[in-house]
Amino acid sequence: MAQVDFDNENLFAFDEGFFSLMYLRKFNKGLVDDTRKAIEDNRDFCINHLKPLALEVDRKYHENPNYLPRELVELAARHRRLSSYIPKYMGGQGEPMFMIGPVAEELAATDCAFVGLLGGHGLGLAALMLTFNIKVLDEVLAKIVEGEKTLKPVMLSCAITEPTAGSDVEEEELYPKARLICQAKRVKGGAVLNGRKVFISTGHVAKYHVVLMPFDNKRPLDTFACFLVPSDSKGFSLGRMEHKMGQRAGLASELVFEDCFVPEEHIVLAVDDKFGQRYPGQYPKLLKGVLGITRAYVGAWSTGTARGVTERAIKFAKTHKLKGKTMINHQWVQAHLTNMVMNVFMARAIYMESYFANLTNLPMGFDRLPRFMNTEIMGWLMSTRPYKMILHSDILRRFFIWNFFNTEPAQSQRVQYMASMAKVVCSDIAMENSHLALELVAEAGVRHDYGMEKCFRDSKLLQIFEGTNQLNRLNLFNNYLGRHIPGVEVY
Amino acid sequence: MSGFLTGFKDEELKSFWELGERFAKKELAPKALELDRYPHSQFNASALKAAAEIGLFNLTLPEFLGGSGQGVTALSVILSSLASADASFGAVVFIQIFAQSAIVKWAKKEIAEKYLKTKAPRLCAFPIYAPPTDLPLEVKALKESSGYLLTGEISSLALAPVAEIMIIPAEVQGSGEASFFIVEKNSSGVKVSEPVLGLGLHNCPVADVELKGVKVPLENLLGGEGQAGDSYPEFYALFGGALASLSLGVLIGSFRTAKSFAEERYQGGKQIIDHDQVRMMLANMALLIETGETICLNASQAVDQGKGLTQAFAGGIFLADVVTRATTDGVQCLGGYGYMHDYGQEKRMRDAKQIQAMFGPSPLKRLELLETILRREG
Repeated sequence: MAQVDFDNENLFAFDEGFFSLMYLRKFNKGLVDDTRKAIEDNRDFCINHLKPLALEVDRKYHENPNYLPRELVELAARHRRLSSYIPKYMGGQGEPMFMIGPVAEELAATDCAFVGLLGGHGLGLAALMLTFNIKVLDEVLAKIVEGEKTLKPVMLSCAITEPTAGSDVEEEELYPKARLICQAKRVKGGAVLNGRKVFISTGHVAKYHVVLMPFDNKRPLDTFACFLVPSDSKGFSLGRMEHKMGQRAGLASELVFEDCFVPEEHIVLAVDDKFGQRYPGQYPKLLKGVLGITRAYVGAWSTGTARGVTERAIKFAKTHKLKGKTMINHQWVQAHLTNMVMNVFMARAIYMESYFANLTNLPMGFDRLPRFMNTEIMGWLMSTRPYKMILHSDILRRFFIWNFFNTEPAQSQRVQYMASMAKVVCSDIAMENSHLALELVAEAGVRHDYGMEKCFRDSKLLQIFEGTNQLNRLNLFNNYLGRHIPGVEVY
Repeated sequence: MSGFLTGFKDEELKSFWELGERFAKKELAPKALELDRYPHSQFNASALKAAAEIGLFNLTLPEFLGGSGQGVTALSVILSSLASADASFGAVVFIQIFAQSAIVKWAKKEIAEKYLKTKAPRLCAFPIYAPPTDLPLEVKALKESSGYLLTGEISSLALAPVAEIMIIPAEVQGSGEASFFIVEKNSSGVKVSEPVLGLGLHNCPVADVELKGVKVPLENLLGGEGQAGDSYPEFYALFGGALASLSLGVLIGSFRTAKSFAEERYQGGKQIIDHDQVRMMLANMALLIETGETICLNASQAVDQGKGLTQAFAGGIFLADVVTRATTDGVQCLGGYGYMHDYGQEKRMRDAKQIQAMFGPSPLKRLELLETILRREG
């Protein structure tokens, strides 16, 4: 008696909710039109391609907890979802970073776990981009684009969390106190890595791992480094795959480094390199840059999850009877569903505001790539030797890094607290709406074939990763109230 | 957690509690995680056998059926312990005893003896996920001279994959009301689906059942025609304390795991338990456990004394609801580890939510509670 989980009515369409964006169109037509188009394209993608796979893939994990979601990785590659934010001159889709939020919302409404898979890849990409190591970027981005063409998908993972240090490595203040077990060591021609990373999204399907670890784990801030490790490297191996409650397609892998050699050119960034402290304080800057983006992203992703479970509950209430009357015609059911809809709108408002905080406060805007980046002539120009030399030069890199991270403390704090707020509010709402949906639907709600229990399982992770909601509350206090209350103790 | 024990002056209840704890520790805890993979692991038949050996399924049966005639209180005390180790088995016991009680209440003496006075207990499937005031009428019962002919489908029948007999709600044609029938699973025309994959309580299997002209003898009708619609809602409310205990047990397990993890793990140079936010989550769990024990015990004892119907009803709704939120926090206390299968914490969150889905939507239950109160006052 399996059921379709939700119908294709566009209950949360652009026109029904993104009012601030529609008004903004007066000032930035291109940004808004592109965003709207991306939302609509992704909706088609969801209905036609993702929806038919999502529940089926999730079910396979119950039979085999070590299942790898190859079909979803291939789907992402076939529809160019791995190169969305890579400029067109490099063969990517050149989509503006701004729309990453609404797009995540759209995808997550259909399958939260798929966003996890893309998000793991995106996190690796974002971390790599923010090192501004154009040489490595050129190499990796070209492989991602090539992989999409040949349907041999190239995904990235981003390895931060360690077995004894989760939220710790996500905060500047906590990092030095964390119990770190990973450590790199300089050797002739490069470095060797040792230790274990856990809970790494996309780990088992990624071709490249962007690995963050210090050269001295007693002084992680001063010796922080970022490495690119191909999955076939000697000394690198995949450990166990965690058996997660939900978001199973996003994977959570253990990465094991045993004297894993990384050649000099794949040391993407070292705060303390052979020339001394060339990028002092880079870790917290990189972290804040990444987290400002990723936490807002989790906000959008959570909003989509909250929305997805709501859409499914509405569909159920429309098509089932309770005590002789169609459910949705009971007044209490309407009130219950309305609470869920209001929650979705509140979540959306907060994550959008967080994206606007990024636009307002980060110097190298996150709205759209400059138009020339998406032209063909640029591709030709960039591939010529002199331009390559300039692009790969250290001076340009330091210029980028200086420019990008040279924000006023107040600006950085605004990005921080808004990102934390989006993360906490939206993920709490995703969990709450999942609770509410299952309470309303009861028997069908807890059956796999209606799709709502999957939302319930998927939601929980949103409150945990990217810094637990507890840690994000502290971060929010610290960056928002903390600076207005002199002498207040912050944690 | 000293559990119910501290409040007990009653030696008999204390011994039930100890029995439950021993059983949970020995028979359930070691295998709970592996068995959660059902149907890709076994049904917990060994615990079932062990439970039968200590007479668990005879607990509430009246003496004429060879039982020890205990009330809901004894059941509640034991269920909480079972659920703290493995809520799936707790649910198996709850559903079985609930179904047995329904047979005792409504069946003729010889039918009760036929199905319940057996050497080994015969598991009985029951529509535990259907709202008592809105039982499905998809199965139609056609009355013939020698009995009824049952046709139709029923979804999410608990214990169906492993049961020998089933209690099926069906509409005697044209009546518009549900009646309960005892149907033997091996009757011809009964088709039980593959186990339905659900959120929690995986080892308390559920299946969809199709009946194609299944012949049921007249005496297998429980009570009179339409009896299920009339007196079932009040009957189920009496088990509110036991249902509350099932939820409470899950929370106790979640609290124990969260507490010991928080004492072991370090974060930001401090034990997790020394972070106020974790402390607050644990404190909230403790608050619910301490008050929840009182609710379960009082409600069940009142019911055993022939009172406290609305109290038990409310207790079942309340604990099921709050425990779903509290076990969600139970996962949070462990961070990423809570989300993984290994610590059993995510299982508790799923189990709690599955228990809440028993007897229908929780807001509907609240409305029914008010309805009952208004009716009694009016």
